[in-house]
Amino acid sequence: MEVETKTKKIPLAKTIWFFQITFTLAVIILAFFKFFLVPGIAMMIALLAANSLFFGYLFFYFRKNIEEMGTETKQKEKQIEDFDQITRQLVKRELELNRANQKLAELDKAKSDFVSVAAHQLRTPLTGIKWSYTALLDPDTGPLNPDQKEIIEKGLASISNTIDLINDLLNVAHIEEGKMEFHIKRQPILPLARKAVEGIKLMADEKKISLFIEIPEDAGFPETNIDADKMELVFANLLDNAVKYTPNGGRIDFNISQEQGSIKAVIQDSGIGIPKSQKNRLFTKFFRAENAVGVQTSGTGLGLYMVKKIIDRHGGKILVDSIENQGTSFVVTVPEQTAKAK
Amino acid sequence: MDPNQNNQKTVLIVEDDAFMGSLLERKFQQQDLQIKRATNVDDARKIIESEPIGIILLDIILPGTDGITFLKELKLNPQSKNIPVIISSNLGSQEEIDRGLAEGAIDYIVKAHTTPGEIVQKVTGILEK
Repeated sequence: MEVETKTKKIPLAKTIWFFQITFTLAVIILAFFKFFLVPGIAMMIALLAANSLFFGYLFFYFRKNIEEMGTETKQKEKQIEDFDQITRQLVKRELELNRANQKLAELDKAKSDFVSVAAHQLRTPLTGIKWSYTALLDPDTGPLNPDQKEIIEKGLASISNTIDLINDLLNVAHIEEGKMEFHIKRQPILPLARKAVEGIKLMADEKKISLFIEIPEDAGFPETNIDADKMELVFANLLDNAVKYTPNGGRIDFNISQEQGSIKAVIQDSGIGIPKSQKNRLFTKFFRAENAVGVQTSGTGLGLYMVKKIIDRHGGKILVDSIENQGTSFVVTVPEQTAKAK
Repeated sequence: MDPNQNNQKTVLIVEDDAFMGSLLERKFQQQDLQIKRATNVDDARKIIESEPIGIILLDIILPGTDGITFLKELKLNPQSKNIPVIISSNLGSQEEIDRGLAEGAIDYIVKAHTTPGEIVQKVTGILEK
């Protein structure tokens, strides 16, 4: 609501002007009667007339001003009342907003607590199942026929996916709460990349995907200020996506290099690509491209969201280039910061 | 690895989940390692007092006294302070890992992220040192 703040001012200059005119008129009339008509009665009439004119005007003027002042006072009172009302409404709204914020924060914490507890409680039985399948696949336990082996391997893969999903949810809960801790220190990045590659080799072999890996030798390669676990998560996620969304017989290139004070990692695949219209949503939470859902029904859409958050926290950048049905290329750069090669 | 050397060192598994404890025991036995199992801290204490232990695999969520409290106790006791302890838990946040390591554990394993084979490998690696 907009408050009328203008007030009507008393026309002082106008008042003085009218006084002057009135006196001047009185003097002229007086002079006229004095010098041309002379008689005393006429003089008295002229004085009376001049006085009537003067006092009449005064009466008229003050009545008008009093009325105006009264109106202005009423307007000001109303404005003050309106202002008070607005202030009261603002205070009330602020209280309501604070209460709503507090409630939201409580709900958010309850949600995060629930996710953490649920994650722990789910992990325990899943670990039991995972370890059972692992024991069954162990040659020391006894031979399995190929069908049995395949069934158990698929079961194990499903369990591992579920555990990964729980971990993703936990990570996102931590990110949302601002609780994801980063332990950034100067350390080698290359072993993390190699470990991530090892993690996808089996799946890539199964899909007959060719891997072209160029990771330099450790010697002479600069150490980088990173959180090792988080950076491994970045490589693992990007490589895992590349394998998931590259058709059988495709190709994945992964190389790491040093470039202008930064470490640059490029992950390129010949996969299904990302539709142009959806590229801008790629790093948003729970987003999965339409064509990705068609290829891989499992997935939470949390991986790239986490990757982006982690890279941001390292002061790095992640760029994506993709052509639908031809492939996708992710370029990750992380500054070396103060770290230099020994 | 020298099996005779490992036979001289007993692995104490403190794990309240009997099934997971048995899977671990089975895997350790395949490597000719001596195993003792406890499902709570009281039993673990008795085992440590009665025989030499080479390494402890310790869960955190246990009935009664929790694993972290027991770890602190172990590190304050001259008889047990030098026994290496690996925490094996499904609590996996960085806070929990840091806390376990700060209390003196030499490693922290999130059970869901590993397998009995990998745990055995880690333990034998430490015992060989």
